[in-house]
Amino acid sequence: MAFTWSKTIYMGLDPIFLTELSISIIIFSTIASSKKSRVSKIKTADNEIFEVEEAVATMSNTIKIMAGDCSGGVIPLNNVHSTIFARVIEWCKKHVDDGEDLEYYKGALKNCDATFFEVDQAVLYHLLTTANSLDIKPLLHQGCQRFVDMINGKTVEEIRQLLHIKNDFTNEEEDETRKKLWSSVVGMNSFILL
Amino acid sequence: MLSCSRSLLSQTIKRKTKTKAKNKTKTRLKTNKNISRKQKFIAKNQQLEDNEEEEEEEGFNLKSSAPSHSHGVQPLGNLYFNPGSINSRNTGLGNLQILSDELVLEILGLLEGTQLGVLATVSKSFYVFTSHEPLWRNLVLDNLKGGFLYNRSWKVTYISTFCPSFDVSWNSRFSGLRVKDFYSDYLFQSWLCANLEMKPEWLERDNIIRKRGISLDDFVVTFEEPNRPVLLEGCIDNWDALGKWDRDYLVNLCGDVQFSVGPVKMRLEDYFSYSDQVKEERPLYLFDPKFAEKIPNLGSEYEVPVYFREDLFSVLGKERPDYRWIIIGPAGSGSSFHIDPNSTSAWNAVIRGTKKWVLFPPDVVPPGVHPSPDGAEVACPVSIIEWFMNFYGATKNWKKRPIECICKAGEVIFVPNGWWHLVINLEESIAITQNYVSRRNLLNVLDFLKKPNASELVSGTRDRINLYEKFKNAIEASFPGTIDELTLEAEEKKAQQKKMSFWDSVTDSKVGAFKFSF
Repeated sequence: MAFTWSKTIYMGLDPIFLTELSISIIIFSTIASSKKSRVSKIKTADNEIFEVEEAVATMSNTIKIMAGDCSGGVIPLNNVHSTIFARVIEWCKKHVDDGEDLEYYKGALKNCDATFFEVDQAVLYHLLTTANSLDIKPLLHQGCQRFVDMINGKTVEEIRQLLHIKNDFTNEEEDETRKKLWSSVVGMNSFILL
Repeated sequence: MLSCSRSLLSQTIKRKTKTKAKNKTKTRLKTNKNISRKQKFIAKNQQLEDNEEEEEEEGFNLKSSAPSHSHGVQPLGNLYFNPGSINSRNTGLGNLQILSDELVLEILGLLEGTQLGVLATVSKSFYVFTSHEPLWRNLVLDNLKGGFLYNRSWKVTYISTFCPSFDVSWNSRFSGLRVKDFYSDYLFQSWLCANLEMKPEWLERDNIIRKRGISLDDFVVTFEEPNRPVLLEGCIDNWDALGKWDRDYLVNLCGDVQFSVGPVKMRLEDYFSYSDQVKEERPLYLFDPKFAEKIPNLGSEYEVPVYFREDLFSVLGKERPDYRWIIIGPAGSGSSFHIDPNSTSAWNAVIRGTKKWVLFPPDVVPPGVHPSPDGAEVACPVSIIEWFMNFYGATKNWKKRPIECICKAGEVIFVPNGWWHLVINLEESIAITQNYVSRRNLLNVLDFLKKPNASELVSGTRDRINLYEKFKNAIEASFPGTIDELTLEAEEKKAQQKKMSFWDSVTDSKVGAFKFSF
């Protein structure tokens, strides 16, 4: 201790200031580490337990509310499977610092999310359903936008193929619709049923 | 139910409780909490029969112009009647069928008109989904704001605006493609709520106290101080507005002036041409806080009834929060359950038309309403008509029954501060409402403004956080010592009440002894 003090005097730093500083550092790191250690435990439908930083987990309003009720215990998610939940958490980790303003997420998909959303349709739809039930609006919004991007610019037949839909209009009905041809303002050939 | 907000998600939870409650309304089952699966099945069957009855009884429940869903959508319960039947909702959505109706609509809400048009031709299911009127309403309001000219439906309005060369007139005979085997509770309910008329049994109860010609003192002592609602008759007989304000007069007077209508601003004439035609669950409502500034005649043709002239927010001059509104809307428009802002009291005078009111005291949360713990948000309450369908029945058996009334032209209702209230116009109505602070609720208002989350709760003014300080200082300046006086009075009253209950108990015991001695 004496050695340290003499060193600080030599360096020209006020030893008292330095002591206060070191005490502050100790306190700060205690706080910081206790913040880090605030971890939410979440159990998915298939009984897998996830330990997630609280700030990340509470991006889901549903989890936020349930955490309030569970007070430190394990939060059960009875209709979310671990594979989907893992993906959701992955997205949340990326966006935990992006703030809550939904405006930030409106419009095109963020670049950092481009690969995240390059998934099978089935996965995408499960992501949407899960984002909805966990009430993570930004994720839901981005997921919907991904779907919109998928079908944008496609013709009717291409959309049917993409979504595995069989045309169920009868000939009569299709004739009716083709009668109501509407050349769109964007110059794309499309028609609308009234 | 989707209204002017794009997101349906806050409605998701409501949706689940709604379908359960829907089954309850027309059945003999007493509670829906313990309904077993089998009973639910029976309930749905009964619901189906009742729906069929409803649909056939013209003008009784459904608006006579809409005898059945224009595209043939049926509630899910009907599917149980046709075992083996396929739900074309699912086959037509393909991979999307695992998403709930709300999620499908959430996705469609991101699309432009052209994209919706393309999707409409993919399958019958997509045709039905993309015909969902609220989608088109959002597109019109986003793109045209208040400058739209409503034409038969939001979809037709959008097309006739953006594709003027497209001939929409032939369509007036053709009401749209009818789809068989499409079952969806959400879409059916949405249509039902848009087309349901108020049932007579919802309008029967009228238990408010009515007074005519009472003195100001009587009013204060009997109603304002104890914070009870009352319907006042005859106190606006001298208003010019009563005789003058009809459609033609107002349209001529207001010309091109823009009035606040929900999220947009519109000319009065355009608003009327919308309200004449529209059939939707939550019609746009004209609710303007600056009407007197925009058209001074409107301000001079009415005056504040004598009971409400103490108006302490006036000390803030131009910085006072919004305090008076002109309210115009068609049958079916109104306000779902809410408490008025800043803990103020209010009065509402009907100049034309008829309003149905349902009021609950401050400590009784109406069924179906979920305020957040800090009171900052009321969890997107169900629409008015849905509240009547699903929750009104519950109030019949409650001990704490609501106060209800029908308020006609020439009548004024007093809404005490903190009371929950819901209003629905039974026909096209024109009304004036003002919120105010008098000495009787000054302390309440100051307490409210003092709250730590004041910035979220306080409304009607730009400078939310400083309102408390400003108001307090302004009161001290104009009415020095008033706040202290009132605080003292309130404390004395509290002390007296404690004393009284003690004496009450003494009296009681005397009485008891008296009886006992017999």
